[in-house]
Formats: sequence, structure tokens, C-alpha cells
Amino acid sequence: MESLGIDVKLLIAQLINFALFFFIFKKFIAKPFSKFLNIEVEKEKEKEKILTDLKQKEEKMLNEEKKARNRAKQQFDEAIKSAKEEAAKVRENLLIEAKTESEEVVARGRKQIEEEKEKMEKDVKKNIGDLSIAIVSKALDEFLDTDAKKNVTKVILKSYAKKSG
Amino acid sequence: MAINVKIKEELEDYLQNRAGKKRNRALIKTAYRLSEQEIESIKRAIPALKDFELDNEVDDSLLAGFVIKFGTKVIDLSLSGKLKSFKKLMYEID
Repeated sequence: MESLGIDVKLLIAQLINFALFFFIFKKFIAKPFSKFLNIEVEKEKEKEKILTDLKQKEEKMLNEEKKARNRAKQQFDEAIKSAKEEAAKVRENLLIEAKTESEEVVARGRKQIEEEKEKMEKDVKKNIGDLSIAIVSKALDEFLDTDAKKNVTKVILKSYAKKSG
Repeated sequence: MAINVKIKEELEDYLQNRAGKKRNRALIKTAYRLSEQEIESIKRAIPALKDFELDNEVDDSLLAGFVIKFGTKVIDLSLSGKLKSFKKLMYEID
């Protein structure tokens, strides 16, 4: 062995050294290191799990948001539709009211015209009457002299006496 | 305080009558001055005027005929009164 250049003592010492190192490594380094690695792996797995959960939650939230948006849009469309129907009804009612009012105004106007016409006819009749009487009075005033007045008075007195007699 | 003329006259008449001093007087309005004969013929035709003395007043607006006022009564037998009645009748006819 010595001719090969191998020192047995050194070899044994190295072997012992290696064994010691191996023993110490296994007891004091490998286990904790392996434990550390396991912990890290566990942590990584947990992170991934959390990430997956978060992604799922995000997806769920996006879906919910989409659904909510759709619902809101639907409600909005329904509200618009209902408002349009309401507006149409109001418009129709307004038209009917306006028509009724205009008919009433026309009827009132016609009635007023009739009343004015009647009043005018009465006024004209009155004026004609007044004028006629005035003309007759004037004519009689000019026509009747004292003798004629006396005769008329006699006639009036006679007819009164006959009536009350 | 101013007293209504009509009330004053009626009060005077009443008091005079009570005192027996005043004879009943009536006012007759005509379109011309009446003669005594005409006044008598009117009194004959209207018996209510028998005890009244007639005061004649000329009013051209009567045209013809006469209006008599005695006491609270008025008898309108004037031509202008007839024309007024006729005018009223015309208003009543539609």
C-alpha cells in the first residue's frame, strides 16, 4: 500500500473524518436542512393553494360582477321601457284632456256668441221700439192741435166710462 | 235736518184733514187747459172724484188725454201713457 502512495493511517483518518462528517451532517445538518426544505415545499404548496383559491375567488367575483351588471342592465332596460309606456300614457291623457278642453272652449265660445246674438237682437228690438214710439210721439205732437187733443180726450174719457160703467 | 218734500206735503194734508180745514184736492194734468164743463164731465165719468176739487196743470208731454192724482191713487189716461204701455208690451213679445 505504501508503494502505491496510499497512507493507510491518513486513509483511516480521512475515513473516520468522513464518517464523522457524515454522521454530523446527517444528524445536525441533513435533517434540519431536509426539514427546512420540506417546510419550504409546504410553504410553496400553500402559496400555490392560496393563489389557486384567490384565482378561483377572483373568477367567481368576476362572474358575480358580470351577473350583477347584466341584472342592472336588465333593470335599467325595464325601467326605460316602463318610463316610455308611462310617458306614452301621459301623452295620450294630455291629448285627450287638450281635446276635451278645446271642445269645451269651442262650445263656450258658441254659447257666448249665441248669447251675444240674443242680446243684440233684444237691443235692436228695444231700439226699434224706442225709435218707433219716439217717432209716433213726435208725429202726434206735431199733428194734434188743441181741438184734436180735446176730441181724443173725449174719446178716452168715453171708453173709460164704458169700461168702468 | 232736511225733510223730504213729499212727506212734508202729505203730513200737511193729513193735519189739515184732521183739523177739517182742507177739502180734498186732486191734480189733473192735461195737454191743454181744461174748461169747467170738461172738468165736470171728468168728475161725472170718474165717481171717485166726486168730493174732490180738481187743480188743472198743463203738460205738453201727455200729447192728449189726462193724468189724475188724488190721494195715493193715480189714473193715467194720457196718450203718452198708452204709448208707454204699448212699448212695454212690445218688449214682452219675443
